[in-house]
Amino acid sequence: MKRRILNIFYRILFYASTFGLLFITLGPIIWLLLTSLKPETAVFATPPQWIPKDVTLSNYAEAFKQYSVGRLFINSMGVSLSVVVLNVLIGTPAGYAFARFRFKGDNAFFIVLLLVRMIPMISVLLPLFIMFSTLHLLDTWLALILVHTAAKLPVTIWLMRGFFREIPREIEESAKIDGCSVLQTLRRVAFPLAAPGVGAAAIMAFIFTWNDLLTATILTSTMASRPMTVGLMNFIMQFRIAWGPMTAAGTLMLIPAVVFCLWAERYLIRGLTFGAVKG
Amino acid sequence: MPTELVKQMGFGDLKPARRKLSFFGEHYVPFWLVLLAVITIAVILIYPLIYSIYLSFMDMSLGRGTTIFVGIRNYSDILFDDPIFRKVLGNNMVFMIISLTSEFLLGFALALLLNRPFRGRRFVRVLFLLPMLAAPVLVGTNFRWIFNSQFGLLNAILRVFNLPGVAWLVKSPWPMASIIVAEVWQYTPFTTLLLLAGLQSLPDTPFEAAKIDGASWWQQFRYITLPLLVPVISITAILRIVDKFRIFDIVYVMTLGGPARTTDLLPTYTYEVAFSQVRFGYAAAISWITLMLSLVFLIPFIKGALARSFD
Amino acid sequence: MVVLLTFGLFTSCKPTAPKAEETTAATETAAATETSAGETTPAEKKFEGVTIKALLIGGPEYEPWWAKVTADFEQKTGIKVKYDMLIFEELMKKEITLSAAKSSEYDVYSSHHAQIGAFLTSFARLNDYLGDDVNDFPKEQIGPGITKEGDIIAVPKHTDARVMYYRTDLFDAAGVKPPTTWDELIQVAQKLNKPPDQYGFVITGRGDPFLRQYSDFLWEWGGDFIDKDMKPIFNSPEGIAALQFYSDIINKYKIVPPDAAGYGWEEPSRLFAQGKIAMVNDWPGLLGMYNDPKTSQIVGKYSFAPLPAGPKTNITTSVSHMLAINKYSEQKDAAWEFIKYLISKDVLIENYKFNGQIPTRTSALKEIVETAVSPEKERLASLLAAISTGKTWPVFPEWNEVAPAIWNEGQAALTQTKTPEQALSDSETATIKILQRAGYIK
Repeated sequence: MKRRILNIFYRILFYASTFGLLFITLGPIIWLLLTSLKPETAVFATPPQWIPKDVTLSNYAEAFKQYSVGRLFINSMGVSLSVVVLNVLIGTPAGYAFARFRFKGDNAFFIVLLLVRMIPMISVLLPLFIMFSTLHLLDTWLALILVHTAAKLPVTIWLMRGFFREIPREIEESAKIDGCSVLQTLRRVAFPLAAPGVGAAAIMAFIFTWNDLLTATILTSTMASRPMTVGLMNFIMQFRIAWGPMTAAGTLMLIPAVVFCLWAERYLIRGLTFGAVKG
Repeated sequence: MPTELVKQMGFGDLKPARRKLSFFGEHYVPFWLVLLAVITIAVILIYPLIYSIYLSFMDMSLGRGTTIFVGIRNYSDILFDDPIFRKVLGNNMVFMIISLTSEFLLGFALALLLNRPFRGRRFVRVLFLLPMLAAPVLVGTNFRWIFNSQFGLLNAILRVFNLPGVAWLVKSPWPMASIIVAEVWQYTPFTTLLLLAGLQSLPDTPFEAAKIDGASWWQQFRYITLPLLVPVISITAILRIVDKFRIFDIVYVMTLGGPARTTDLLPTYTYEVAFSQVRFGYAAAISWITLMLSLVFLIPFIKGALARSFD
Repeated sequence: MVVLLTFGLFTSCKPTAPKAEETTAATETAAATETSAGETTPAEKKFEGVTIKALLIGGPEYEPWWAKVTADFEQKTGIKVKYDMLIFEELMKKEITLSAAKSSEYDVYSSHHAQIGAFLTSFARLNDYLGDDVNDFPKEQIGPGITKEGDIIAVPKHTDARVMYYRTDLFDAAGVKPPTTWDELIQVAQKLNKPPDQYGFVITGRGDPFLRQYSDFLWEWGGDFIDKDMKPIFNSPEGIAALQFYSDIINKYKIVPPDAAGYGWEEPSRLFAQGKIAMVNDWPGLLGMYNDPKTSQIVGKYSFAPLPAGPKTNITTSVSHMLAINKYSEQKDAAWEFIKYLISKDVLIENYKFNGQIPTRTSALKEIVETAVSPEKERLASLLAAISTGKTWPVFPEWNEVAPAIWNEGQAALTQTKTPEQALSDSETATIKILQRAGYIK
């Protein structure tokens, strides 16, 4: 009897804390969403309008019409997805190699990767600009993709290394016994099992590219390649923040990130199947 | 055999003896895999890195059109003759320690919560990740208004409970607290995500064995979960620490480093030096010192990150 | 930093001219009878087919005008202008980066008094292009674009200054008139101060907005930043008194919201638009926001007055937006044709009618003033009161380092973590170090 009450208590505690944390987590985002649906005067009403009195989509209309949010979106999406693909293609095998093999200087390489990750972007912005300017690659998707891929690779490699480590070797051993080469082992056995890691790495690469501001500001100038973050800055004008269209654009920016997350998050679940295999 | 025993205990395999890598053949493959990644990074970042180091030894004044070699004077100025740098460094330390601890505690709690199966878990998991998906510049602006003392959401909620409003972004020590809140809010999902992925990858056997032996939840956590998660925890810690020295958008938008530089951090100061004061050489030196400083804080975690979990 | 002049009785891209009908007729007759100081007769199409690239200031206030004027220009001269626009912050960052990289990508740059010290060696020399026309520009406004060697590297297009916006409804109800001095302002504001829903006044506190406001106080109290020997002189009884007064507004008289010490430009404007403030010193650009029911609760409830004067002077900040040619441009002549067109008298007047930007060119301004009618007349009068006595910051490359030193310490005085004496003393120490390192003083 006591046990049951304790169980119920824990369950209540569990759900209460989950909801509490969820509220804090989502509160500002819901606020953002609600703000995007209000006319701008209502945004600053005191006391604040929790539920918008006049719901309007005019902010979204303005975001698309006046601020070309559609094009910004495409730019962001194109660059971010490319970076993710490249990261997975290049970073996963590298992470696997670090995880499974010891070779001369492997730890040193690893630290170098870390150092690369640590480089403050500000210090390389000017030289990056000069470099791409000389190559006539300013204001292109390619420049952004290259820089972001290079910048995100260390994290991808680190993550993949960590997750590959979690996989017991016996599975790969049996693959080897079955005659798989290193690459085949990677592709058929290790990769699917490290799926949570791939999911996490993909989410990371996507998010940090999608949300980058500083690099894009320097390397882009026109709608040809400008991503949404830079576009958002246009709403933060000198004397006023155009809250209406900005929250609309901000909300729009969240959607693909959420969708991508939903898709990549599936790989986090794969960990369960791993348990089944192992058992 | 010792390895059999360990396996039975459910701690996974011991790694076999170190593989020697011969230069050719199948064993060459990993080398190539790594090389590809390294080449990609090197080609793109080598020139900027070298140029940045070069700049750090120069006094570059755009307005005067001069670039003069000054040796290590930038570095020595920063370390010994720049009270702003010292203040900013102190701010960054405080910021880092408090936000990092919060992110980890919260992140771990969340990861553990989300690791248990319950209805709607997948959906809830993505919901918890949302803050991380918002652009920092958006988060900063959002919080700038939430913390506003006249219009802000926070003070409005306080007033509902008849509590006085606070000038969150102005009255010490709240500005620092405010940016920490914004940062923790935004990046706890990062910690949660990585820790959760780590938790998900844990093998079941050790836990099953432990349960059979009657171990409590806490014992399982302390003796199985934590040790197995050391690599993931270390990597997460490293990544977060590094980011504490790179945070920019949130602070820039919320407080601009103020009031009176009380929330000025290394990246915002570097930015000011580079683009407001237009001294690229000095800014480059600050960023390299920042990098070296962040290295210092990473040292305790590197061993854990490099460790192989089953050794 | 940024001073955007926006005269928008519109919020979308549709231009609406202020009282266009009344002024147009007058201007047309005027133009027909007098010879313009600026060239607006179509240049010979010797640059036919040339394309130049311009990096111009962006934002909804500017974009429609750029679209129109570049189209007109191409029609008249055959020169095609391909332009990119960035808002002020981004514009400055981009121009700094481009100049540091010695890029020749753009031919024409938008510029501004703020931060121009960084570009003194990156813009082309315009003395020969401008010639005697330089005399048609007030010294105070074109001065910042002239290096100490006498090279003109930027020309002013339109000028910005602040005016006092005040709530006619609140003033009438309380039976008060707009103050003419700061002491009067305190009294009037106290009468209209009903915290927390209404404050008599509002002020900025952080960064560049702080420094602009402090500049007004400093000059009006009789002080200044740097003397002609490049010695800092703001740490003086006048400077301290000015900063003390600034702090008192927030902390002693409490006629502004309590967190004003953290405000940039956005908060005061927003608060005034929401009807929470009785008066604010603000830029003309805010007119669009104040007149739009979508963003303002005070449409039709406010009017303009000149800024209040201090105990010694009524000198306040006035800054100009400028245009410059990239030193590394390969099409300087064609670039100059564009700039010449933009700052020509007739085009400036057209500019004013299009979006209310006040031309810097003396002859153009004179004509606008002569032909203005109410209520534009009052607004112009208030603006010109500030512009005519307007001053701007000293122009030298290292000013960009001095400014943050002053605004950070100054903000400490506003939040009362330092006394004004301490704050200015610390700023002075930092400034002296900067000037010594730059070699201006020993």
